Amino acid sequence: MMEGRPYKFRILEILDAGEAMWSCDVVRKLQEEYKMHSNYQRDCLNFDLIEVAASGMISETETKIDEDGSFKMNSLLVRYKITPIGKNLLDELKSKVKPMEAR
Amino acid sequence: MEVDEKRLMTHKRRVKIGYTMALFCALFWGIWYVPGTFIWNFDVVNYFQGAIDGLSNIQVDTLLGSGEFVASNKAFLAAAVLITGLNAAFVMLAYLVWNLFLGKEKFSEMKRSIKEMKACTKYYFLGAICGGPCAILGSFIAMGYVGGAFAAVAALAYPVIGTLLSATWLGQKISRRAIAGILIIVIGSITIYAISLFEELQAGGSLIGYIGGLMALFGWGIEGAVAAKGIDVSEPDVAITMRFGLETLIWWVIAIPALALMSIPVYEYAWRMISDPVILLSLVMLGLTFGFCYVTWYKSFPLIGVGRGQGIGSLYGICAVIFLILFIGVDAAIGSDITHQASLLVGAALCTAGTLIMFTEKTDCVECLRDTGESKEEES
Repeated sequence: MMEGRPYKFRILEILDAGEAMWSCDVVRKLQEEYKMHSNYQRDCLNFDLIEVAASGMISETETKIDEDGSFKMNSLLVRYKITPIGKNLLDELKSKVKPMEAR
Repeated sequence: MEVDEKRLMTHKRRVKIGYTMALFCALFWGIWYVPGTFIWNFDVVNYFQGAIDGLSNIQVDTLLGSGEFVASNKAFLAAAVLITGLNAAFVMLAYLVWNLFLGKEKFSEMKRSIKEMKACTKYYFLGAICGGPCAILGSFIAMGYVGGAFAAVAALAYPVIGTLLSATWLGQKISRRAIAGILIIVIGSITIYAISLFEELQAGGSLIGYIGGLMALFGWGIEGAVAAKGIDVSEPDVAITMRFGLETLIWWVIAIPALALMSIPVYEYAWRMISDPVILLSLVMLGLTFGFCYVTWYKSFPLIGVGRGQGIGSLYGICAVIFLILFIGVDAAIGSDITHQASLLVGAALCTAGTLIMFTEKTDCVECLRDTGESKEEES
């Protein structure tokens, strides 16, 4: 439902869909969907995740260092899950967004 | 490096970026007062009064020379609207360049966000009304009807409103240490203008001037909280561009055409100001300084919260005085009176103390800005 909508809408939906996810996987999924393949765009999307986490909508469950450089060499990878207030915000957003074809 | 150490460092870095953004906001806001003061040298108030009275510019020049010409409130308000409208338009130009620099993806995200009126754009529309026609115009009204010091003090107390709203409406956590830091900065900033404020209040003001002060206080305070609500679901760069786009529309589609219908030559003077190279340079400086002050203000909210962002942002009071002293000299900026200079020093010391109290707060207090509701979920 949130595909093609602002990044933070989609971040909440991706993390609401299942179990906790690693930041690198969320960012890769967003990069694919929004066709943002450069390293700069990857870092921008990762910063959006950090902002959403700081606001309390998602929370950290685990952390590790990217030692093999599959995402970004020696960077911190965080496993996130959606929080109850994040779920409430997502429900609120779902009730407010118009169906894609109606826009 | 251990994972825990790296994690702690990442959080510290985020908080540091947040405080740096808020500090840059104060610096840019302070610098803004230099072109902001200079722009009034283009005597648009008196020429508007001349137009209202049906006089030619030559007649106004002659009357100004005789010292008998007095401009009315209507002319002052019209000039304030035109200058604020030009300020907003030049901020928008600065944002177009800024977003081009950030990459074309920002424009795509802007397009996606604009479509979500109910979910996010409405907050920026509200922010544009609170920050523009309410706060900036209110500040000008307070300046004109009571005095510059009153206007500054009224606006400087805005973090109190922002902090209260962010805690009650947004549910953002704020530590006692941060509250103490914010209050000390606000008291310090007010102290800087205390003597001038006392003189202005003794001289008496008008009710409309005090209402203007309240408009600035509540306008900027509410804007911060409303913007933070929108930034929960969109990017700060996108948010601020939409907010100023909407403010520019409010001035140039509603307010300025309304003045033109009242036979005030707003378009003529807007063109004259843009055609004058020195005034044009001042307008560009206004756009750049106010634009980046707002960018950094909005960027600080998701990283350190509205209260902390606004608290550090209100250091603009001391920054404005410092930059005005640097550009126009001590006497013109604060006067040669020793009491004014003493209040500046006491205020500056309090601002520094408040800032240090906030900067030295443990970063784990700022790790997450809200109670996530996870503890309640676990209990049940």
